[in-house]
Order: sequence, then structure tokens, then C-alpha cells
Amino acid sequence: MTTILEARSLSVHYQTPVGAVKALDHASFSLGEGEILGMVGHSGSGKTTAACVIGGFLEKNGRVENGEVLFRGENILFLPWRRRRRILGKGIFLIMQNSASALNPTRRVIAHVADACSSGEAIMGRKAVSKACALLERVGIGKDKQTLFPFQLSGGTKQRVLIAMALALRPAVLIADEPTAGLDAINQATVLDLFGTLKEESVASVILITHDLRVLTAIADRIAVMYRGALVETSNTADIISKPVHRHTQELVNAMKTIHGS
Amino acid sequence: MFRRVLHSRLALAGIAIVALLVMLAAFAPVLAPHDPYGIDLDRRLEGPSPKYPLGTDALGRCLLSRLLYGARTTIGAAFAVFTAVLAMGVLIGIVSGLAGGITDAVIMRVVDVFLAFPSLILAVAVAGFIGPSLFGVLVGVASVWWAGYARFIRSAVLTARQKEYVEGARVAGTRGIRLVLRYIVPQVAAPIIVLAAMEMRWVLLATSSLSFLGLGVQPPMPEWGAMLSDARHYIFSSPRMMIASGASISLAVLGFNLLGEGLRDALQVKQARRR
Amino acid sequence: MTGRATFKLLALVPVLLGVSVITFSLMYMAPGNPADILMRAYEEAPAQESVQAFRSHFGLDDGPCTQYVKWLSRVLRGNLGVSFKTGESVQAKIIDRLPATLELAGGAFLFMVLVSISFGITGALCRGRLPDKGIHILTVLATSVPAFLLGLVLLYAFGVLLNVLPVTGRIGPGSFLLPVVTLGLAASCVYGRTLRAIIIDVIEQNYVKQAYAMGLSTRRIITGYIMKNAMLPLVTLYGMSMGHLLGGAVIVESIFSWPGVGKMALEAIMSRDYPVVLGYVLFMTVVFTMSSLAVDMAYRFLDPRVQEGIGYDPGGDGV
Repeated sequence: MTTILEARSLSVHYQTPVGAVKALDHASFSLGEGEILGMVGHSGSGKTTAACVIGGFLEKNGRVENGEVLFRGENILFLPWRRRRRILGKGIFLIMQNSASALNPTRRVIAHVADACSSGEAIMGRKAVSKACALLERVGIGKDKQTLFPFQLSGGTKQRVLIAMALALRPAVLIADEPTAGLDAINQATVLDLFGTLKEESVASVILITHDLRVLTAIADRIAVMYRGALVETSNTADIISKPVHRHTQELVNAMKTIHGS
Repeated sequence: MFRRVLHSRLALAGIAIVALLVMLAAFAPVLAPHDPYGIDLDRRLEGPSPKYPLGTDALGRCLLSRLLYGARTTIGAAFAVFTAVLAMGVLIGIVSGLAGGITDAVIMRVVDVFLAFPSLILAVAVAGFIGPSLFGVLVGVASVWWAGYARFIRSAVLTARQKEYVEGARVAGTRGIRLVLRYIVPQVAAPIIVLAAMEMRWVLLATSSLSFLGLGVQPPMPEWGAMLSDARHYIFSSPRMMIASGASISLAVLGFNLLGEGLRDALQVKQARRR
Repeated sequence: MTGRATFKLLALVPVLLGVSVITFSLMYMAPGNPADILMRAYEEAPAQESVQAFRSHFGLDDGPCTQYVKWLSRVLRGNLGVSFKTGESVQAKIIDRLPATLELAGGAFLFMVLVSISFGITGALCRGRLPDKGIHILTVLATSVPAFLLGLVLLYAFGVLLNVLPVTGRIGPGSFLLPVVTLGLAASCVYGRTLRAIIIDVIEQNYVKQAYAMGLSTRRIITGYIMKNAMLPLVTLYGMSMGHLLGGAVIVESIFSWPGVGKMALEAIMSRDYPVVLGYVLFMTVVFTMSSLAVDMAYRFLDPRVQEGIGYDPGGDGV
């Protein structure tokens, strides 16, 4: 399996009024083509920082101290914004944390997806709209809901809109930050199913970030465990569950088993 | 809070300008070289000279002296209106915000009615009906401007009331004046101070505008707006006359402008919307 | 949407009633009685009989309530009374002068919208750099110079020194420029700064970042994602600015001898021609209220959250 994205010894610090905070501390991981890599860790372990730094949306007070991120063999970390933007969308597509605010409140759902279509395939106008319509149908959003505005939709539906955008873009790498947060069990299952579809149709290689290990066991090929900004363990999903090595991984697995039974 | 204000260069510049103008107004009798009412028809519309540093007006009166005494009228009038407006606005706003119910509804409908008028037009009309005079301007501007403040302060009070610790104090039995003074006033103080500094310039603009239109101070009393209005008749022959009063008004407005902006940044209060 | 408009219109009725009460009671604030003052303009000492005739002719002997009801029923029938001074009908006088004022206020409004949008976008995109600083300085200056001074300065610079534009009156498009700039400049700068702050705020929003993440073109992001959201709060401000512009028109008309209603009202005030002043205040307030209503409707059209009737009211106090 070829590696499409690789982070090497990545360190990111945030400058805060009380001093520098290490969000990522020499974290390394790689994503193979067509793979779903799950990233799991407690809040503040650096998952979102990893997503943002790869996606190009590091907060203003954050700074890369060390390391590199190779996308198709090229280090993209220090590219000027103009060149970086060429990778965004079709190359790397980041679905932001908190889908509630990720959609423009004054733009209809279908227009969002149509925008994605025109960015992905350079089709414009009516063509883009009909493509968007088809994609939305695929993620289970019927015509009656396509002309609504984001605030009229439930969290699960918004997440599905974002997935439809991913389907339209067909990015090389899709990074989804907490796509299942705040969703009920049924919506979680639907959204995870859709990620599975992305993989089956080899639309994109996916990094799926969550704090919920159980979500990953269903669909991830490999799982990377983050702890205090470092990647402490990366292994096949089955291995992580059956024989966790790092103490933190063991805690996560045990916690999952306690709550949900084994 | 005050340290942050002092660290803001804008606010400092504003304070300096305002303080300077207030001092000039206060010491006008000492500083003025001539009697501001002293007419000398032989020396009409003269340029600056050692005797008349800023020259003379159409009646041969010393422009510098009139400017210094004018500061008293202009800034004094603005402060008077401002105090009246602020007192009315704060009182009515707090009463409305705390009382709630029918009292609040009635007060707010009255406020709505006053806000339905284009502000300057109502002020002009009120001043006009009372008759051109300083008093007319004071009543005119005050009767229009209080409404916006009342609404702003009411909503600040309502916001303050909703805070958990105010709710907590109420549950703990703090009531009436004590609740207002200890828990609500400290919260609304910052927005009121900023609003006050920002609004001072509107009041100054409004009062001098009315005087400019001839609705305010009547001759021969010196006032900057009225002096500028006099000067405009000589725009072709001696445009120089407009400079002194015009620059003074702008400087005063600029002072309050900077002070307001500096305070707003220092206290980090969002600017109140106004029309 | 239509239901909403009707509702808003109905809600205006009590407000306008209140406006009429205040307007009418202005007359009672005037010292002296109008009949006396007015008759004095014609005769040295008016005869008791002629004052009496005047008073009964204009119904000034009735109690205030009766006078108000009579006046209101007349106004509602579209009759604002006649000028004390010339005997012309007030509404004819106003309608005669209104186009000039609307032209001035409308021109200033357009100027304000165009300039504030370009200032806002420039300021936000060049944040902290030269164009932004330049606009900031211009804003501080423009808000410090009162309209009446700015008018005089422009008049002197362009009319007297350069002698390229007509100084006063309403003759040709050239005469239009200076008054419009005088009236609109300060508001343009203030709203430009406001828009700049809003745009900077919107750029930080998640949905704009998400739009960048989708790889959209800069143009699409500005038009589709930033501007529409940034313009929403500004539309409300634009609506409120109409009152400011109509009020400022009094000053500008006086400086440039612009033959509008503001100048007419000033002259009426000076000659104590009360019906004209009352009619003017009432008329302008209605114009202002209607333009606010139009802006409110525009807002509802622009913001889907309001359009679809979800419980969200930007015009309310939010409490």
C-alpha cells in the first residue's frame, strides 16, 4: 500500500497568556492510499490540532515547532497560502469539527454541494446543481430538504451534507474531525456507513478523528492512539482491541468494554 | 481598568484635548485679550495682528476672545445637555429594566415613539417651537436623545440581571437598591462610560448644529456654531474667519471621538448601535 | 411574507399615533399665541377682533383635545392644513419641495452604501496595511468634522478656490455633488469601519474556513460566504441611517441653498409658521418609518432565518 500522507515528528505549540502549550509533541503517523485511519484520544490530546495543521487551518496563536507533513511526497507545512490553497479541496479536504457551524447560514444546502461540485470537477451552473442533487440523494437527503438552509437541519443531516461535499470533491485525503459528535446512535450509524461507502468506492483515504474508540472499531483499518500530544500506539484495529500495548490504550479499551460490554 | 485606559494612546490624546479645551473655557476671562462683546467698527474683518491674534469679525470684535468665551457656551451647553440626557436615560432605563411588566412595556412604547422621529428633525422642531435660544437647544436635543440611552441601558440592565450570580444574589435574599448597586451597576458601568464618551460628540455636534442653523445662542453671545454661521456670509471676502471656530469645533469633537474609541478599546465594549 | 408586512404595518399604527400626539403638543410649547405673533407681522398692533377672527378661523379656541382630534382627522384625510403665513396648503408646499430633499438624501444614501462597502472590503482585506490605515485616519477626521463645517470647506475649496462646481442651488448634476458628499461622508466612513469589523469577524467563522477547505475560488468565497453574512447587520444600520440623512439634510440644504423641505422648515420656524413645521416633522417621520420598514423587509428577504419564520427576531432587543 502506498503512503499518501505522512506526518513526521510533528510538534505544534500554542502561545497563550500563561505560556506555551504543547499541543503536538513529535507525533508521527502515515496514511495509506484507500485506508481509513482512526485517531483516538481524550480531549486536548492534539487530535484537532493535527487535523488543522494538515488541513491548513492552524489557529493564529499556534506554531509548528518541528517536523514535516508529506502529501504525495511533498512537504506542505510551509507552503505559502496561495500554493497551499491549491491542495485544499481536491487534495486534502478537512471537514471541520462542529458541523453545526461549518455550513454558511445564509446559503441553501444544495448550493453548498454545488459549490463543492464546481470545485471538484470544474462544472458550473445547472450541471453542478443537478450533480449536487444526485449526491444529496445518495446520502439520504431528499429533494424536499435540499433547498433548506442549514439551521433547519438536524446535526446528522448537516454531517451528511458535508459528506456529500466530500463525495463531490473526491479528495485524495479526507480528514473528518469528530463527525459523530453529538449525534444519536441511529445517526451515528448512518454517518459511519457513509464513511464506509467512501472507502468501498475508493473515493478518498480517510483520517477519522474521534474521542470514541467504539466508533472506530466498526470501520477503521488502523487506529492511532494519541496521548498528550504524542502518538503512543498505532496498530491494526483488531490488535488495538485485543492486545493494547500502551497503558493509555489499555485504559481506553477497558473503558469502552466497561460501558458497552464486550 | 483605569490602567488600561492610560495605556491607550488614543484615549490619552482624547483626554488631553478635552482637558485643554475645558481649561481654556475655564480661564477664558484671564486668557482673552479683549472683551468678546467689544465692537470696533473701524477694524472690521481684519487679519491676524499682534493686537488681534486671530483677527476680527464683521463687527470688529476680537475673534480669539470670542473663541475662548465661545468654548464656555459650546462645551458648557454640550455638558449640560449631556448630563440631562444621561441622567434621564440611566434613570428611565434602569427603572424600565428592573420593573418589567406593564411599566416596562409602557416606557418602551414611549421610547419607540421618540425613536420613530429622525432625531435631528425633532430636535430642530422642538428648539424652533420653544424659540431660538440656548434653552431651546438644550431642551430640543435632550428631549430627543434620552430615548436611545434609555433603551440601551434597559437592555444592559436586562443582560446584567440574567447573569447567574445576580440570580444567585436574588435567591440569597438581596433585594432592591442593594441588588442594583452591588450587582447591576458595576456590570452596566463600563458600557455606560463608553457610550457616554462616544455620545458626547453627538451631543456636541447636535447642539452646535442647531446653533449654526440659528436656532440656538442668539447674538451677541459667542458660540462656535453660531460664529461659524456668521463667518459663512464672508466666505468670499474673508474665508479665514471660518478657520478659528471651525477648527475649534472639530478639535472638540475629535477629542471626544478619540476618548470614546480609546475607552471602548480599553474596556472592550461593543459599540452601541445608533442611528 | 405579506402577512409579516401587514403585521409590521399594523404595529406602526400606535407608534405613528404617538408621533402625532408629540408633534401636535409641540405647538403648545411655543411661547405666546400664534395668532398674535402672526398678526403682528402684518399690522403693528392687531385689532382684538381680527385676532379673534384668526383664532376661530384656525380653531385655536377649542380645548387641546378637541383641537387634536380635529387636526388628526384632517391629517388622516391627507390635509395638513394651510400655512399661517401664505395660506398655501401645507401638503402642496411639502410635495413641491420633497423631490429635492429625496434626491439629496437618496443620493447620499447611494454614496454611503457604495463608499462604505468599498471601504469595508478594502479595510478588511488590507488589515493593518496602508490602505486600511488611510481609511482609519479619514474616518477619524470625517467623524470629527461636523457636516456644516465640511459643507463650508467643500464649498470654499471647489466653489471658490477651484471654481469648478456651482456653489449653491439645484442646477444641473454638478450642484448635486457637494451636498451629497457633505451629507454622506461621515456615515460612509463609520459604516465602512463597521463593515470592516464585521468582515474580519465573519472571516474567522467556521463556515468560511470550511469554504476555503473546499478549495473554492476567492471570488466565490467573498460573494457567497463572506459578503452576504457581513451585509446582514449592515442592512439594519443602513435603515437607521435614513433618519440621520433626513435630519442632516436640514443643515446641508441650509448651507448649499438647496431648495428642499428642510430649508422650507427652517424658514417656517423663523417666521413661526407652525402648520408648515408640524407638517414637515410628521411627513419626514412617516418617510423615515416607511424606509425603515422597507429595510426591515429587505432584511427578512436576505436572512433566511427570519424569512422562514423561525423564532428569531433581529429587530428585537434579544431579551
